Amino acid sequence: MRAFLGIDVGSVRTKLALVEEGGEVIHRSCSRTLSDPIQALRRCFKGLLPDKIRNHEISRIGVTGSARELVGMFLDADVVKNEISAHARAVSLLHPEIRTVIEIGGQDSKLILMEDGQVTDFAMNAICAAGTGSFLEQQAKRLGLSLDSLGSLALKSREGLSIAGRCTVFAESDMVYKQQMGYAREDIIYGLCLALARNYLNTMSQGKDFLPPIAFQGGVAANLGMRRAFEELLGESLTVPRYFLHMGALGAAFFASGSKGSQKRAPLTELLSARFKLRPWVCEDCDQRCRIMIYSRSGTIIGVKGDLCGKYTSDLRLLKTIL
Amino acid sequence: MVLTSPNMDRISHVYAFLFRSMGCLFRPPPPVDEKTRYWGRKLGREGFCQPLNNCIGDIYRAFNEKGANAVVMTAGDDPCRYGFYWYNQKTALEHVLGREVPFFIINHIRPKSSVEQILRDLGVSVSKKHFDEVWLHTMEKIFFLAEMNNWANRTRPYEKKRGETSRLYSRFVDRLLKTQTLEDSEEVFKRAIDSFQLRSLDVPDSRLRILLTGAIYEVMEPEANHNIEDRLALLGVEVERSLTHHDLAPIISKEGRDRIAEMEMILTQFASRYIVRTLAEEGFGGYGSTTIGHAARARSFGFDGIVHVHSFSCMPEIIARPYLKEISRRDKIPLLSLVVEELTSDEHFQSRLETFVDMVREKKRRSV
Repeated sequence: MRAFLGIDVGSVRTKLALVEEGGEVIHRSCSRTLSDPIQALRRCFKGLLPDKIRNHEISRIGVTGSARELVGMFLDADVVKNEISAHARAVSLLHPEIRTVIEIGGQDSKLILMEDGQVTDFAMNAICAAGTGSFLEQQAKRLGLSLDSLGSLALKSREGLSIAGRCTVFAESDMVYKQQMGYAREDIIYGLCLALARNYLNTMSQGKDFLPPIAFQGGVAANLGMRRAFEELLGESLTVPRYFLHMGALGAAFFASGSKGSQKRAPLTELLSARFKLRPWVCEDCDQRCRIMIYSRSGTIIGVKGDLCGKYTSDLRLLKTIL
Repeated sequence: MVLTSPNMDRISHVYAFLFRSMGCLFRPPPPVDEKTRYWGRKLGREGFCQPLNNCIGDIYRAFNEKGANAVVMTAGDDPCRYGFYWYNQKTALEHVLGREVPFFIINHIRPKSSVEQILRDLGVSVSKKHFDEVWLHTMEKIFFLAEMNNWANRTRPYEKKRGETSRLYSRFVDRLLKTQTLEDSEEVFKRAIDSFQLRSLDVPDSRLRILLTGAIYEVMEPEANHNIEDRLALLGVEVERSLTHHDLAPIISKEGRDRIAEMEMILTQFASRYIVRTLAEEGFGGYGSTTIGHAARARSFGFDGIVHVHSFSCMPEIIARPYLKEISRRDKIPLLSLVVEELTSDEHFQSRLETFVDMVREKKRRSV
């Protein structure tokens, strides 16, 4: 049976999902990106057990996430799609009733408003990563807690304290102050969750209505304290999809399933073991002075990014003299 | 004195032509790049916006790398920063360089008399006939630049060979900036338009048109807006700038002047639906009221979406944002507001653009 592979290469985690033709999710894996998307990808594939895919042929690949262009090039992906569209696609197919999607990842947050399975409006954090997973993780580390225990501890709080959530630096000083004053740890932690949720709602909503049913997805959706904080502030219960962490990857797989799949791809094992190299270079042929990124796989140029005139994209041979 | 002028989509090269033709020494800065941003951030001050920092970077580089020692700039005394836009740059540069930096401002309402005054201040004497000829030619160059940009933006999404439009545009702009006579400029312009028109294009049945609006520097300078016009074209979208080279100089031809006057009237009418008429006419700093006027006319002028670009600390555009949201809601026209700051990473920027275009396309498909 044919299967479609979806990969979401995020700033903090890389997620992989395999979906068979009927839409059944047959495999998921996840690895920390650790500033090397290709290595993270290789780790994800290690979890792709042969017995899981014995009866399946991976016919198409879709990639999303902040390193989508790079990984898309590396794997000769059939579809490379932005993460908002990927999340929306997965929601529209797996939870068609959803009208609002709250997605919080490692370094960005998204709000997606939907109607009849289509995106009607969206927002992304613009300047600051104050309300995202990385900050929660940083604070958990500072308090000597795991992310999971941070969430369950927040559930024990009777009343969240007031913590400044506009800026991570101020939030941290506020937390330290409350800690030194002797407040209970669970109240401080829940206060932090409330502050992050408020930050998200302030920066993302900007006059937009959070119409129910509301889905909460992305890595931060695993945090029970954040779920509680959003439910308290919105006055609505949230739907956390079963595959909340892999919704982006699933969306990419769904996009891949609908694509023509014209790529002639080498076997995945061969691609994954190939050497991958990036060479940055500034083209000075015109005043644009494009910052060009030249990608090669085992010594062969496989793609180029950043040439606004498209000169090199349409003819990779021009780059041979540079490498 | 060796003059220079900050970059804003090649406008410094037009001023180079103007002042060199009058007998002055003029050296435009290198194109805006990471080095410009580095110097801008280093020499700029807290609260300076991206345009201000980039202009400082440009001037510093023109002084250091090209040997310039005085500055000519346009619109430095407009409502942006209460008319002290130029003065902020002057003081920041003088603080670093430890000497006086002469600044000559071309007033954007009375540019011709400003230039005459600048020449007098520089001790340059030219005949009235020569001045008028060079002035006419300069204004026509500005007009041609704007028109060529319009043509490029209208046809780029439908090109059959990727990059063909940008290459054509770049080639003709280079030629235009080098011409010495008005006849040569007209010939280059005619050839450019012929080249844009005569190409075979893949024009789809349903075209997407997006209005690019916001602060003038972010709308016009490709390095400041992450080359948004090219990015949108790659997504299959026609782009129209709300502010072009026209807005920096008066149009010589009566037809051109009438067109601009009509547009100003339209903008005031549309903007005054949302803000009091005095503010619509007089503005409230920078290009804020113009942005509101353009956004308010977008639906009536057949645009499918609005992309609003501004720097993080641009007060007039921040004031304009809620009005734009209201316009988007009332006119049911999708809006994307983008803060373009000194980020070198393009990923998030691209994600927003792609999603926005997907959304606009789907909305249009459903409405047909």
